[in-house]
Amino acid sequence: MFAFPSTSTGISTVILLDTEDMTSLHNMGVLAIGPTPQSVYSQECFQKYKDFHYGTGAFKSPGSRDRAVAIKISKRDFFDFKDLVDEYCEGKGK
Amino acid sequence: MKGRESEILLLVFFGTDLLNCVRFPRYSYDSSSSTLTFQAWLGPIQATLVSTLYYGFFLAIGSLPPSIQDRVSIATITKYEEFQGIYTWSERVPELGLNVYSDMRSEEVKFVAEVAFLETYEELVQNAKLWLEGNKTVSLVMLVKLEEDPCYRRPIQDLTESEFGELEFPPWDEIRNQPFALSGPYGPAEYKGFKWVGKVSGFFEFWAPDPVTRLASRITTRMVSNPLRNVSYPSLPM
Repeated sequence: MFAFPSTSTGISTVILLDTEDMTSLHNMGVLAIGPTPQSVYSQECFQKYKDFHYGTGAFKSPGSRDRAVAIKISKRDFFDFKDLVDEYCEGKGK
Repeated sequence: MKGRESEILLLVFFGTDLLNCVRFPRYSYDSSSSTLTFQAWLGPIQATLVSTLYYGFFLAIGSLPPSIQDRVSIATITKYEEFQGIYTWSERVPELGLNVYSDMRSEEVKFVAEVAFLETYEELVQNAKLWLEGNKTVSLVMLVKLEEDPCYRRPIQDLTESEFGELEFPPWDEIRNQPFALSGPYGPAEYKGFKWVGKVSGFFEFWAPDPVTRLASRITTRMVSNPLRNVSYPSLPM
């Protein structure tokens, strides 16, 4: 996976490639027993979301959270991302 | 509800739910471009503008006949998911929305205000397209672009600890009472020789679906106005 930042649009943009490929692999995978695991990519996006909230990881430096962050993500991975956010917020008693 | 009562309501609403909000960042999804965006909650300048819009709508709704008042509600920081076409599965949390109950008792969003401070104008326009081309009930979108010149940058971040100590800043809760020097009515604002806020300016414009193509199109010129109350707003189809 290759990541690169772009600031040409004014908001910090992190584009992670191969999202569709990852989704395809996810779809082609062996049927899981029990809860469907969220894709690796959606988990990466969720981690980025948490980092943005807590000011950790890539958002540790002062001012790094002053701009919105945009990420390319397939619909399937977006649904997984939402599930992860919901599960996390419920666990936090939000 | 008028006068003091409405002020209290506004204070309670914004004081607890919006201005002091420490929830997780907002996230939005534009399925037409497969773009997930997360952004911080409103800063003070955005929040002030949103509260002005909210108060304006609050007063306007209060002047309507009761039967219509009951059908209208103002929503702030509410997630909308009802998008169609290439925007299906999109989600968006606008700064302000005006919802109207239809005769079928279903709530439809009619007006949306998008207030951008850090986002670009192009991103605001994309949001207008999402609302007007992806949601058939929205008939009017207000885009507000706020700008700060120079853009805020923590002015003391490069100071050493001793340099910072020499400045003898008061406790943070006393700083608001200190004399900030304003170069103009909208900034920049300086304190202890540092520029803390740049000059704030902005503009707004209204967008609506083109009557023929149904595509999002700007229906007003770009407006820079102070005070906002001198502006005659386009009518909102109900």
